[in-house]
Amino acid sequence: MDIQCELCPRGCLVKPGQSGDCRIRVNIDGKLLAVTYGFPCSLHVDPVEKKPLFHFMPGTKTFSMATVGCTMHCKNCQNWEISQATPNAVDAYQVSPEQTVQMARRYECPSISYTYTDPAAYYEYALDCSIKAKEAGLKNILVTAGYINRKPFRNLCKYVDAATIDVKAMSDNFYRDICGSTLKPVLDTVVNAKEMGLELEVSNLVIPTLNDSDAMLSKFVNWVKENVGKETPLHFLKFVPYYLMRNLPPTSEATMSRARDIAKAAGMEYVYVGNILNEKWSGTYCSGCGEELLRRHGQVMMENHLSNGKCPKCGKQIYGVWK
Amino acid sequence: MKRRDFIKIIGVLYSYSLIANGRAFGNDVPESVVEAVRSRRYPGRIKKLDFKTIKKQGGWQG
Repeated sequence: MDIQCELCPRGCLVKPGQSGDCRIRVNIDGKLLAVTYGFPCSLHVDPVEKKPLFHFMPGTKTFSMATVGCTMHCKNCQNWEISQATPNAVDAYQVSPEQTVQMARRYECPSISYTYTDPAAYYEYALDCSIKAKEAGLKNILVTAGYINRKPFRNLCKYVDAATIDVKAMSDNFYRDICGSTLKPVLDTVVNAKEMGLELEVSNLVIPTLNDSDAMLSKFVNWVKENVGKETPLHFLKFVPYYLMRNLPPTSEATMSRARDIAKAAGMEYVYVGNILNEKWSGTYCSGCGEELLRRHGQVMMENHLSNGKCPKCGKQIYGVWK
Repeated sequence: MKRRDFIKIIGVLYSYSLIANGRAFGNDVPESVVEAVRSRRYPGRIKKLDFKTIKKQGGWQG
């Protein structure tokens, strides 16, 4: 019998013996099985700044994991070899949620990040690992494109501490053409993350000719400001040609600078530029007095001048989780 | 027999067959599932934990 999957807005009707669009959930003997559960294809230790997450436990390492599959089909995906693959084509480790926590501890990581592909797709595994991690006193981080239904996402958020959510463009046409999905559920996920109390940061990959116009960037910035607040750290990321979008050039520094200027002019307090080595664009400055609070060289934190999460000069409380 | 009557008879017989087979009309609606069953078998190959590789940074964030 067919099974209606309700994890993501795609709402796949999964026929017997077949998988949903994500390739992770398979209809076997009338049950929907998550076939990558406990079988991550990628495990690494990353700096937390890489997620990108700049206002959450800076300078620490995060145990990062992913399984094959994804709820989207982004033409520029940098991890397409695992996000667009089927499980039978990609080798995986066998790691239970309990073992994930042990490994995070082994590598001295105070947090676990569910990343690379999308935890929205390997939901059950991310959920169970998050529960075990929380019980063990570790933090949980989601790095997601946000294409997931409200109910499962909010359930997952109960055990999660921080999230970087990628809003690819303020255009439904963009989402349909480039990502094979839709915009509104992603925006809802951003709002849900805020409502559930996560330390929230939002990223946007700036792609030449597709989402780099002043109008698009302004729309994005104003939406973030009005819906989740001006204190929400924004990360503009430089596009690098990859996968099915090798026909476009990398984003210029001028465009990245323009994006940053638009966000600052709109009143966003913490704006960063990623994939470009520029310490001014990756440093954290007090939104009150302009004092340099954290200096970074790329994804490496070099100096931290915060005093109990506050500016040492004016005393302003800086948005984030600093310990 | 008029066509209308023929259709009515077919409808009654179909309904009777559903009831006789113990099937309610709702049985044709697919089950909705949010949380999947946790599988214990992986469709692909299992690779050995390589602690040196794991210690290194991963690739792109995606």
